[in-house]
Amino acid sequence: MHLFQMEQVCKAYGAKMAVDNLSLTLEAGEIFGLLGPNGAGKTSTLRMMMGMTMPDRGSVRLFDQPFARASLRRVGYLPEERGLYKKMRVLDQLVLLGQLRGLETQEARQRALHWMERLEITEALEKKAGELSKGMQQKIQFIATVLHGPELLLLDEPFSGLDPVNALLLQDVLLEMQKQGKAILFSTHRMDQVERLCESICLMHGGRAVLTGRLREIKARFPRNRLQVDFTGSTEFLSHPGIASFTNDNGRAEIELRADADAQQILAAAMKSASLSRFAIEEPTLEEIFIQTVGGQSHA
Amino acid sequence: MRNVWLIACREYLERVRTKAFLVSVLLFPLILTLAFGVPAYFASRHTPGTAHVDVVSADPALGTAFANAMQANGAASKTSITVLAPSKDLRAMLDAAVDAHKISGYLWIPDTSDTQAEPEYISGSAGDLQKIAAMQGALRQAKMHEALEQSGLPPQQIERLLAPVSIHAVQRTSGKTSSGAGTYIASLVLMFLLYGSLMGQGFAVSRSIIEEKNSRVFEVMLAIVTPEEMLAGKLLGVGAVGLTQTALWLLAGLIFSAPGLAAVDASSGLHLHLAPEAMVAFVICYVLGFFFYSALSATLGSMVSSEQELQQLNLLITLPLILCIVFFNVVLRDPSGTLATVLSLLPPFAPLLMYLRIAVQTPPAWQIGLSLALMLGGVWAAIWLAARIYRVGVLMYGKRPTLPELLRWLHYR
Repeated sequence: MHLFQMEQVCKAYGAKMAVDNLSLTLEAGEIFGLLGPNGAGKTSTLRMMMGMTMPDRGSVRLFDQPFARASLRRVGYLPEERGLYKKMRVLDQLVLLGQLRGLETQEARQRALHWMERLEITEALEKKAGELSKGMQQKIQFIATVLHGPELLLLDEPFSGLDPVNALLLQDVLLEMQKQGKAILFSTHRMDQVERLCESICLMHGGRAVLTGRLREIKARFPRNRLQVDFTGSTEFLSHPGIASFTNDNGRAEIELRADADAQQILAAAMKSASLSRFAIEEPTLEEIFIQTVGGQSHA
Repeated sequence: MRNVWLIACREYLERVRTKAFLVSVLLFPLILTLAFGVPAYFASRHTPGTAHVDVVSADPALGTAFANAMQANGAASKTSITVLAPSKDLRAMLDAAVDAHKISGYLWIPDTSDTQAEPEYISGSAGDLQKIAAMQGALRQAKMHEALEQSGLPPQQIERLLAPVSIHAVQRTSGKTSSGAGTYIASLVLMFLLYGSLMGQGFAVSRSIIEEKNSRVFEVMLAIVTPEEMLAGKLLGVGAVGLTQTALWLLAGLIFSAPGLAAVDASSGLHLHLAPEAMVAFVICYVLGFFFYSALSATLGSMVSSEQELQQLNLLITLPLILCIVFFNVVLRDPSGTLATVLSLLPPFAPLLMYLRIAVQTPPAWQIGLSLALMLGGVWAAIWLAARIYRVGVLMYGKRPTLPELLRWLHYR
C-alpha cells in the first residue's frame, strides 16, 4: 500500500509552472528526501499534498484513497516558515493544536509534555512563543507536527535553524519514527542529512523532477570517476592521458577521470612512480550530483 | 463546529487578556464619569452665598425688583445680592473689593435718564456667561415690572404676567411617554458606541489577519483546519470581545455615572431613557453591523501584507461609517425624511442610521423589515466575499493583488 501517491501533478501560478508533471510515491517505513534549489517547487508540492492548494491537473492520494480532508488527521505537516502565535504560551499552543486534531485536552497536554522532555525543551513550557530562539521555536513546531501521532510526516526544511546537537537529536527521533513504520518526507538543501537518512529522493528543478528513485540506484547511474590518492615520490603518474583534471595538495591528489579511462591503469602507473599509502575510487556525493544536475541552470 | 469553537475561544481569550482590552474597557467609563460626574460633583459642592454681587442703581425700586427677579428665577440660590445707591467714591471702592476677591462682581445700572449708557457688570472673571444671561433676564424683568407698575396695573396681575415659564419636552412612542431630550442623548451615545465599536473591531480583525499572515501561523493552522473554520472562528471570537466590551461599557456607564445622572436629573428634569425596543434594535444592529464590517475588514486584511498597506485601503471601509456620522443630524432632524429613509435601508449605513431612527421615532414596520432583510443579505455577501479572498490571500505574501487577480481568486477551487 502506498501511504502517499501523487501522479502527474501540475500546478501553475499565473504564467509560472510551479510544479510540472510530478509523480511521487511514499511507502510505510520510508524516509524520502525532496531536494532542489530555491524556487524549485518543493513548498508548492507540499502544499498540494496537504490540500492547502489544489493541483490544476493530476491526482493526489492519501492512504490509498483519493485526497480527503479527513485523512489529514493521520498526517503531520511542518511548514517551511515557522508559524506560532507569538503572544501565546507554548504549552497552551500545543494543547490547542492537539485539540484541533481531535485530541482531548488532557491527552494533548500529556503528549505535549512528553515530547518536550524528549526534545529537551521543558524550559520553554511556560514561555510565550515570541520569547523563544529560532531553534527552540523549530522544536516546538516539530512537536506540534507529531503530537497527534501521524502515520505520514511531511516536513519542509526540518533541520533549518537547528545547531548540530539538536539536528542530531531530531535525526534520532526521525529514525525512531521510521522504525515504528511511519513514512517521512522532508525537503532540504542539506545533502549530508539526506545521505544519512533517505533511501529515496526526488531532485526538483524548475517544477520538474530531474532525478527520482532510490539513492543507491541514482548514485550508481553516475560514473565513479573520482579518485583519491595519498602518495610520496614522483608526480609523474598525474600526467597519465586518462586523467581529465587533478589537484595535488602535498601528496594528496584528487583526480577526475575521463569517461573512457580505467582506474586500474592509473593505479598501475602510480605504483610504478610513487609509493602509495591510499588509493580510493570515490562514489559521487549527492552534493556533486546535485550541482552537476542543477548547477549552471539554477541561475537561468 | 468544534474547531470553530476552539479558534473562537483562543481569539477571545487572547484579546480579553491583553492590557489594551483592559484599558479600553476602563477608559470609556472613565471619560463618561469625568464628563458627567465631575461637573455634577462640583455643582453639588458649590454652597450658596459664596458668590456675592452688589447692584448699584440710582433707582432703589429697580434694584430691589432685580434682586427679587433673580431670586424668583432660582439664580440667587448661589448668589447673594446687596442693593446700593450710587455715591461719589462707590465705584472705586467696589473695584477694590473685586480686586481683593471680597465680592464676585457688581452690576452698575446707570441712571434711566441717560439712555445711551448700558448697564455694566464688572467682575474678576470674564466668562461667566450663565450669570450674565441670568442677570440680563432679571434686569429686563425688573424694568418691565417697573414700567407695568407705572402704568397702574395691579401687582397681582403684574406677577401673573411676569411668572417664569419653561417647556418640558416629552417623547411619545407607542403610547408611552418619556423625556424627549433624554432619549435623544441616550440614542446618540449608543450610536457613537456603535460607530466606535464597529470601526475598532473591524480594524482588529484585519490587523490580526495580517499578523497571522506575517508570523506564518496560517501555514500551521491551515494544515489542520479549513480556511472557512479559521475565518468563522476569528469573526466569532472578535465579535464576542466587542460585545463583552460594549456590555461592560453600558454596565459601567450606568453604575459610574449614576451620581452624575442623578444631578442632571435634579437640575434639568432630564431622564436618560431608552425604550426596550431600542435596546433590542441596538443589539441586532451591533451584531449585523459587526459581521458586515468585520467580514469586509477580513477581506482587506487577507489582501494586503502590512499594516501600512491596510491603512491606505482601510478608508474604503471606514468611509460609510464616517458618512453615518456626517448624516446623523439629518436623520435626527427629520427621521422619516427621504434621505434618512433611503440611507437607513442601505446595508453599509443601516446598522447606525436604522438604529438611530428606531431609537428616536419608530419607523414603519416594512422599513424595519426591509432594512433587516437587506442587512442580512449584505452580511451574507460580505462573508461570501471574505471566505473566497481569505483562503487564497492568506497564503500570498508580498505583492498586493490587482483587481483582475482578485476576481480570479473568487473562482479558485
